[in-house]
Amino acid sequence: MRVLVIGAGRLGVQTIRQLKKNPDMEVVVADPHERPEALVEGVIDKVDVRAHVTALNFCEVVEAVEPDLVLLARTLEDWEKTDTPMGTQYVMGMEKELTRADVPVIPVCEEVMGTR
Amino acid sequence: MKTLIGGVELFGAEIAELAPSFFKPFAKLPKLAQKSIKLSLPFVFLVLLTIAPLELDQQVQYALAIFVCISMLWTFGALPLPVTALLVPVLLTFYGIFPTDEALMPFADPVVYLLMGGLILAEAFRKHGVDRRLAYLIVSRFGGEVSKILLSFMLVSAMLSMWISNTATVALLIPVVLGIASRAEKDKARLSVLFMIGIGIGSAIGGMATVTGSAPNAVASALLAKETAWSFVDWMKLGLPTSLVLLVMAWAILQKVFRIETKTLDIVPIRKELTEMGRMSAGEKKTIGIFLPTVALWVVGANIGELFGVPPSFMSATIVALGASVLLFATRTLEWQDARTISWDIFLVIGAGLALGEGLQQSGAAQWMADIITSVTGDFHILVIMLIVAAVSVGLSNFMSNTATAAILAPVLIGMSSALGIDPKFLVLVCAMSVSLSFVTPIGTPPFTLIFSTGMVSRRDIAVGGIRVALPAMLVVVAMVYLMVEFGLV
Repeated sequence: MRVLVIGAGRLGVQTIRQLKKNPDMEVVVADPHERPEALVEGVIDKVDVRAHVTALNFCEVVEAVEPDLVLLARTLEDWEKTDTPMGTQYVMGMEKELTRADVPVIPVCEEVMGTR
Repeated sequence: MKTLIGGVELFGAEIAELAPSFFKPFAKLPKLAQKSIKLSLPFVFLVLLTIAPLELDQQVQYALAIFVCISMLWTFGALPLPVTALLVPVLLTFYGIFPTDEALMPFADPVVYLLMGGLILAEAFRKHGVDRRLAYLIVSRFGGEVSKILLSFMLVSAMLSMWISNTATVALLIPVVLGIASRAEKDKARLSVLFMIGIGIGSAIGGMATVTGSAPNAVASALLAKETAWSFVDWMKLGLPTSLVLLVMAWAILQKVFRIETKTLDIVPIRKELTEMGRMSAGEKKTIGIFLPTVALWVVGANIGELFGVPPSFMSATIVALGASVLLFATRTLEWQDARTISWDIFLVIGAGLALGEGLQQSGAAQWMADIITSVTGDFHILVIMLIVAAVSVGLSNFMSNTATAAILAPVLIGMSSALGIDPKFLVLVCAMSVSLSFVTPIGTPPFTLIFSTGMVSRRDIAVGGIRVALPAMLVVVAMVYLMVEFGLV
């Protein structure tokens, strides 16, 4: 099973760690940063897709990676929207737009992952 | 990237890239040093101006010192905007311009509650997805031509931002825009730039149409109402036609500035999405059921009130807005928890702007500044003065909060109008509308901060599109205000 994890920051680290407990699972990571937290902490060796994934390029990324499942593991900090008015609503809207794709997309909840 | 309400971080790295070279050494200083200077400089000026041996009335001198200090704090963004707002009544009472109750009275101005009602209505729109349905409905009706999609986006953006905040409108529409642009065979990136700048400018223009459309309108409206007969409907008489003219003009200009080869897009998925939304939910119906009568009462409430012999104040725009808010909660369309997401801090900024304005007027400082400016511009034709006011307002609001710009300039303009012996509406309305044309920089206003931070729209895109629209828009605003006031239409 191939899982595309979007976001290799604080929430991405937790998500990838859990997924890697299953050795049969192939994890592909997308993040726009050169050295995201998951790379710095040694959870991954490289970022597979260096891109800021939005509704605009999501289909292309999915076509290239061909995942069975997509996990959205980005926080407000990853979006750099903590100080912007309506930043939360913006991020929620952007993530929701991705869930309209044909491939199953699941947003990872911060509280569940215990990162808050 | 750090942004505040209205998006300001003057002297920071952001502005240093845009500003003249003399700011750049400042940006190279350590962050802590930058912050300390930005915070201390306004207070140094406050103290210097209060003790300087100027040949001025003491009250005028104190009010000017407060004005300079608050303006600098708002411009530098050393403190969050609402925190600076709290400082205004503190300084006004400390320097004896007002007693406590008078310094705080503007924070309870009717216009503050009008805007509060507007924001509560907007939250109901957002919570129940009325805004999203409206966006999909209009875009699907306009067909798949790129130029028509752009127009539909700008129209939706303008219509929503007439009643809900510009930032909320843009935050909602960006994902929809990207979703549609992604369906293009080619030119995806350019299309997303065109659409995003379109919704940003559309929201700014739509916000000019009503008093509740944006906070600077509320500030100007409140100050004008103290000087002359001025109501919610008066603003719409000017704002609505001006917005329509600007919208069509901006639509035409943007198509020329961002030439796109792709002519049509597949909007079948949008129509499918609309079908999947199904029938309107109970929440949507209740929201629209409360919203439409509210708008009707804002427009014709005074006439209805007269007909039924109810006190005129009962049908004022503010009381109608508050009544609508109560209904939204009473019918469980909104829970109080929902209201917590509203940006309550904006009310402090409006209150502070009004308090500062009244302080400047009451002390005579506004008149003093107005007399100096008038001594230079006194012989100019009123249209030239209006153009100067528009240019200064656009210039300032691209680097500091629109609300703060209007709050700082409006009292001075009222004083200037008195010195020139002209109707204050000429200058105050030009200023209030021009501050909304702050779409030349990514820090001019939060909607453009959001658009810029998608990473798909460059500074250059914003500057090129923004300037091409803002300059002729300024002329339109001046012309519309001049004609409407001169011919007694408002």
